Amino acid sequence: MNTILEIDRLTIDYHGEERTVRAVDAVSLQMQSGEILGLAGESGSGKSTVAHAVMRLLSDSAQIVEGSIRFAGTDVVSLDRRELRAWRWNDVAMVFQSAMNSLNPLMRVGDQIVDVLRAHTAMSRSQARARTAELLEGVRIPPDRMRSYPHQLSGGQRQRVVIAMACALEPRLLILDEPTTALDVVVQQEILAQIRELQESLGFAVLFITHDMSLMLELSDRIGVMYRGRLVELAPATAMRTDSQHPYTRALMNAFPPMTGPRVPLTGLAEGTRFVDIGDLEAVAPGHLVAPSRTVDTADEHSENEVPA
Amino acid sequence: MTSPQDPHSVSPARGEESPAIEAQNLSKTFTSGSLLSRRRVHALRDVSLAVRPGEIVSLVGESGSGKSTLARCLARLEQPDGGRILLHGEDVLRTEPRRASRRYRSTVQMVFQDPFGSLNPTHRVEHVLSRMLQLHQPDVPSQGAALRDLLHSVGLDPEVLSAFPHELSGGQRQRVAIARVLAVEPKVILADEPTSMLDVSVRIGILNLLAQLRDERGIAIIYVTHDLSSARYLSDRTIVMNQGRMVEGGHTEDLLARPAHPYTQLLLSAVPDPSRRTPFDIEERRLLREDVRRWTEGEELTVSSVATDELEHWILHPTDRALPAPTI
Repeated sequence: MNTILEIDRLTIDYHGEERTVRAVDAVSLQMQSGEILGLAGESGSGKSTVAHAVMRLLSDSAQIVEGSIRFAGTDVVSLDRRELRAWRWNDVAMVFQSAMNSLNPLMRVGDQIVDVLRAHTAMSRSQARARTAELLEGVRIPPDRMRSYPHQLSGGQRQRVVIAMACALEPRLLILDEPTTALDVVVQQEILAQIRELQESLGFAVLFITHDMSLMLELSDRIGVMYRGRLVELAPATAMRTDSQHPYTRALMNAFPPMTGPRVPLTGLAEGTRFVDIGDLEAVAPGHLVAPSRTVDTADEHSENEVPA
Repeated sequence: MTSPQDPHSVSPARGEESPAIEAQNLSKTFTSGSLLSRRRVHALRDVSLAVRPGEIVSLVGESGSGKSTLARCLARLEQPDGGRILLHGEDVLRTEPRRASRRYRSTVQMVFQDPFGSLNPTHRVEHVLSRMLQLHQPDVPSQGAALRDLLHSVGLDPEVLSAFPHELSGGQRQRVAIARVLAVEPKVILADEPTSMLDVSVRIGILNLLAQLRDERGIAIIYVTHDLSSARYLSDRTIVMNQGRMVEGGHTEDLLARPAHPYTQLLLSAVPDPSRRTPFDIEERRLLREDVRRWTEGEELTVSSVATDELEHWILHPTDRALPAPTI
């Protein structure tokens, strides 16, 4: 195992017309090759901004004000356009939330994958076609569907085509940004099963972003939880499940009703407390890091009670 | 119309109270395509359901299962091709064939998935709510007090009255949509995936609000969802739909603990469960799918009870198949 991705004190601001928002605040994390790291948090927590920064896909209004991103020793932040073109897809690929809608509606799906292979490798057309059939088989789409147009496939099939395309150049890191949120539960589970199969056969690392803690606990080796741009907890999935330390992590897990155990009333994340003065991560057990924070009762801002996390 | 062995419409455990709303043998077919290549989709096939006051019934299934079509038929947004919708014992499809009367609409109200699309963006919250009050409760002496009461009952501050929908968060907008529904004092609320477009942080709050409306006002709620864990959290009974049919139903806890139909088992196997970390068995799931197909393609389908009578757990199965033994 060697470190493939190193994010160090990454800080990103979004500049609006009236105000500047800090979306990511001094986030540091490392990923090992072949590892599945989940990044959880609600909307606006900064998890997608981290992923976009790693792919260098931040919009113009976003600015990396501090910190570094290194991929296998390369400084990602300083890559120029030409270098980026070679690096994206070859080394890192990304599947977006509504990726199934990003296929070209006028092109057969097989041709779209052939195009990727021909643009980035020296393959001949027939080699590329053979490889495309293999890739589609890897996500359990019969090779004869190569001739289908995107509208002839279901949402789940289209999402699988996009995943096959992302794996086409055998990247070392695959970023999945809420890859199944728009899909039905059954399809969602089949797609995650295929991602795991591909990950086991091809050995790439996966950065998996979702707000669904139960999905994340099932798929990931390690999990990071983000809250208002800060990383508040980072731990192996097993420790996260049995021994999560930060109250926000527990609140996020409780935001989804359980399928087993007694039916007890739950409270939403937006009700009750919020967390302030979030410090840098500190180890509480080997590999298990938690950020000290203070909680503030949102119902009564004056009753600030110190709760070390 | 209902045969004695049609357990869909048999009363649940809540005594002999008469249903707040009842559907009998509803069917609906959508046709698409041109004159020559007509495609017919059976969105509802012989669906019957009765919901009692103070009860939440979940309709679960994947996209295309017919669960939303059923809710839209009950809201009278779609016209069923056949069957009856009973309100106060009266077949409303016969007495109000073209469009629902104001009386119907002040009894049955719908909450939609997208709270942004269901609120007029050009009007302030106050206008949206007070218009509803004027139409449906013209005798209310103090509009201002009634508005504050409405907002209070959905957990919003009176400040939101002067806001436009775009100035509110998704959760706040959904609460305004529910307040608007409450302004007509309905007996039945049809909630079509009311949380699936909301952020995780506010979903539980909306589910808790629905439970509160059931408990405090005795409103009958039909909750449409593909999320089994929220159905388990919220509902008293759950009905599983597949390809326009109700395939299994029962008390929520019993149904989820002892799923008898392969489609219910398939849905349950797909719910993320942190305590299970075995690889997903794609082959096993394929077999379940195959089972579902054989099961639901049977021409003659009958309904049987799989649990003890008081649990009211039933399943749809082809006549040529032996019933699985109840696993109790």
